[in-house]
Amino acid sequence: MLTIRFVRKTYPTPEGPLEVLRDVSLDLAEGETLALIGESGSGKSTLLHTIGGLEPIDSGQIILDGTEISAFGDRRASAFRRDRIGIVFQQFNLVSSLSVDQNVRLQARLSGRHDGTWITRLTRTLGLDGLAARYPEQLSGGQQQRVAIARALALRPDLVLADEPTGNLDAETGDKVMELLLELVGQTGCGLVMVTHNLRLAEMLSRQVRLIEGRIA
Amino acid sequence: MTVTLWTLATLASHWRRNPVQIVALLVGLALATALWSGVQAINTEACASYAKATALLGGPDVKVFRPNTGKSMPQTVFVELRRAGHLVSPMIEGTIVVDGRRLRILGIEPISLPVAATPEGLQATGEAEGVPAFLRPPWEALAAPETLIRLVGNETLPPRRADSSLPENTLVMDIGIAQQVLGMEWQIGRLLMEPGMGLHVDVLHRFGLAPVAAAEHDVSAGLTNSFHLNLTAFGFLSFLVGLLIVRACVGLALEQRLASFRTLRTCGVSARRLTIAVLIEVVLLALLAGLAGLVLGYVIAAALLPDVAGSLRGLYGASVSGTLRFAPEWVFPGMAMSVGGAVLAAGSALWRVYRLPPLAAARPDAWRDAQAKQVRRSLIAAAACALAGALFYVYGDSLEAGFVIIGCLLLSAALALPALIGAMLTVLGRAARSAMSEWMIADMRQQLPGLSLALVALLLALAANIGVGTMVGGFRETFLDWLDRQLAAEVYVRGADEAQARAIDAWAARQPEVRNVLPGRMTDTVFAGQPIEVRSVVDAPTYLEGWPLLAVAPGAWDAIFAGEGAMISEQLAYRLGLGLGDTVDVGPGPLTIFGIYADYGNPKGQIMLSLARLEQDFPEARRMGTGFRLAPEDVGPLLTRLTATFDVAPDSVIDQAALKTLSRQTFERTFAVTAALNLLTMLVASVALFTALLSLFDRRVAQMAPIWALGISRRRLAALELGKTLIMAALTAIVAVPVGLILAWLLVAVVNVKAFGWRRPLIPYPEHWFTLGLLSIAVAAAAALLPSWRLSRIGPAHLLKVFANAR
Repeated sequence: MLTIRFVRKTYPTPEGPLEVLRDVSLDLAEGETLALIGESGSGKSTLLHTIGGLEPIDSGQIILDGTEISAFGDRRASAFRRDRIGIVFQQFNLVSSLSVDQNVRLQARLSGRHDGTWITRLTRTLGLDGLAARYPEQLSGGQQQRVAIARALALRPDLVLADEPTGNLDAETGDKVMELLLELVGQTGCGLVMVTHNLRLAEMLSRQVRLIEGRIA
Repeated sequence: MTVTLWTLATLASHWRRNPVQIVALLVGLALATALWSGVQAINTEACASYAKATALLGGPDVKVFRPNTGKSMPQTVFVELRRAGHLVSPMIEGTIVVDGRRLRILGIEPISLPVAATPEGLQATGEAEGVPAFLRPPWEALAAPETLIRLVGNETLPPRRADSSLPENTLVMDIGIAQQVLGMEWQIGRLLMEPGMGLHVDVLHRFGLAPVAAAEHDVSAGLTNSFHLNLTAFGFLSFLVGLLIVRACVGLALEQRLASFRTLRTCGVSARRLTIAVLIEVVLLALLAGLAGLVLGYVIAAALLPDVAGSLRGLYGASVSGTLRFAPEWVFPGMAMSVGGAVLAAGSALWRVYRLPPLAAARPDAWRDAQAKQVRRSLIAAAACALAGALFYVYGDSLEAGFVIIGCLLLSAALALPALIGAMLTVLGRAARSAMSEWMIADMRQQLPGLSLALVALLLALAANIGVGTMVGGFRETFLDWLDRQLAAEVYVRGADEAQARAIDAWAARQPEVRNVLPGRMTDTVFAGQPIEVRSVVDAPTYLEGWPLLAVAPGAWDAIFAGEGAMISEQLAYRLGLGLGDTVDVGPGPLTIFGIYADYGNPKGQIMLSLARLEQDFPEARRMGTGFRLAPEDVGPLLTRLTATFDVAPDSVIDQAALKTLSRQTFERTFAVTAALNLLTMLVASVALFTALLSLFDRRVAQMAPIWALGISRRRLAALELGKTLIMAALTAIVAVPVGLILAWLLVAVVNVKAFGWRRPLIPYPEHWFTLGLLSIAVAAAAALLPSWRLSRIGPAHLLKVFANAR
């Protein structure tokens, strides 16, 4: 489903180019869940962002279902992400001026793949049905992250990318959110790539890949 | 399309949650559009009135002749000329007062009238219907529809029919009826001829006629154009101030929505599509605000138009309709300015959206930090603008160049303002002794980038006020002094004819209380292509001691009374580049210029000769009212004896005090418009400041929370917040004083000279600056009151949230 080949990525710094990803290659089968683990600065989040087309790569290939998304410019990468990929961030990234219900439906509406029945089921599963009219500032961190997960899954994506989804939550809430995420990923049959520092959470996924200084260990 | 629509809906949700912000943006843009389109509406209406007035007499091509005396002539002149084969057409013009308002009566003879001068109402209906109705009882008159409405119910005037080609407050009727209405039976005012025809000079001499120069119309047009250009410049300044509000609002909305933009980008909205959505949003808001602005502009224009019409009539004799129409000439450009201005103001924000990487950290302060870094670049740009202005001053030689210099000055000041206030805060910071004052100064420095646009708006409004206030104040002082000198005689009397005038002069000279009798004559002529007046002066202390001379050569009066020299008005000297020692040639021989005098408000240039020389060179010159010098308390008894002795019409006796009052009223009316625009610009600046403070509120809470946690009460914090805004406004006012003074100097020394041909001394008014300083502090207080009050009422839970977010 997802194929990554010899991906290299550098950032310019005052001291010269900083190589963040060094010939990274890996594969993800359909429905597989994968945890990217490693020290801070090892390149986990950068790899996740490049898979989502949020950051361009210097060289290599990222192929999703036969489409080389790493060759896309901003327009096509955006369209591809909108229709095929759901992203969950550590900071939730909800639109503060939209209600919970509007936030959940946002990406599905943008992609034109809005399925009301599925979204109702999703919000019920995530325990959001009583919070539909509230705004993000009126929610706890755990509730906000559940809204973000619902938004990512509302369009039934082929792939979910999660960047430290429980990083801002206490352990108990984090576990609950994680369980819900895995349950829904299982229901939709999509793939999941998750960045985490938490080895206990990483072990809940089907495979773990460690990055050390931009290389797969 | 789906993506764009849902992106737009997401963007719109920000405004739903921040209604004050959108109201501020709409108000800013609506006010900007209103002031601009209001001025344009006035200009359009005035131009339409000029066009109608010009078209009424067939424009400058129709030949017009009037008596040398400047008065009316017997109708027999017309009859004799027609019998001699000259195709002239008679016309009479006068003014009557109906229900307290002036009505211009124009009497024509439609059969002989030149085609170009025939009103549409007579052309359209054809001879079969229209002309007979005009020529036979009940003697139908033509008037603009607005005039017809005004005259509804009036039965003393002939019945009326609509003719939309006519200017307002004008009634065109058969000359025989007009003579009765005006009380001028068997008299005519002018003779018209078809373009291309003319009268031989011998005929002109025989009948005492003079051609009316076409250039007379051009001079008046040039001056009214200058007047309108001045209005446009002020309208544009107000528009710029309004755009600063828009720029501040759009910039702030962008800053507050950075996180939302990021989310939309991660949800698959491309940078291009996001930019298009923001652009559509700006255009929609601009259209909405533009519509509101047009309505508001109409209201402003309708309120100001009577004063403008009064000014134009008083200064240039130009007739402007007192009513306003929604005309495409100002409606569409107004909308275009609104949309164009909003897109321009949002330009940098749109560029930032386009360049926004999807993973950019949502740092609300990043925009302001970047702005703070621009201070040095802004200073360089300010210096470049100042240099450009200086180059235009040295090499530019037109009214437009004058406005470019003013634009450079204001732009330069606006660009330099944040750096100047920053420098003043640094100086204040060194003087700060207590912890709180140190914190206040440091906090103001931090607040400065966010408030800079609003402070620039305040600076422009204050500078415009100081500049125009200084100009008007100086003009008022000089004008009143000039008026005192020009109208030195306590009373002016005009005889019905030459014989009566001479008899009155001789009678007055015998009256014991009359110290001086000052007869005068005047005629119109053309010199170097310019229509000018030639007037007389007599050897009397009133003139010798009090004449408003701007430049004078030694022995000037002796030379003039010896018939060897002349004096000229300032505007004639400026237009023709004449100076002392040059010569003017308007009579049988050249005359050396011995003096240049002020003649404010006169659109024509003027040459002044001794009475003897004028009577010798221009025997046809008409008499002016003779001035009598006497003690003010003797005026009443003298006039009683005068009217008992002579059959003098009431309007032939002019009381100096009444004339001065009338002149002052015209003057005040002229500047009522600029005063109103100044006030509105201050209002816009106040809205800008209010918007900036309100939109910075959340950020201010984050700054205040740590101080509150250290034990400073919310009420005290709110008071400090108010105080900081007032200090910033006061610092802006300090910068505005020199900018306003330079602006005043440019208006007096460059713009007015180019526009009107006269220059006045620059008189500083420190008390005016002080008042404006207080006004700016009041404006700032009004703008800061609500945000400060909100701060004083904010709950501890809200303040504690700041620390929760920090964690």
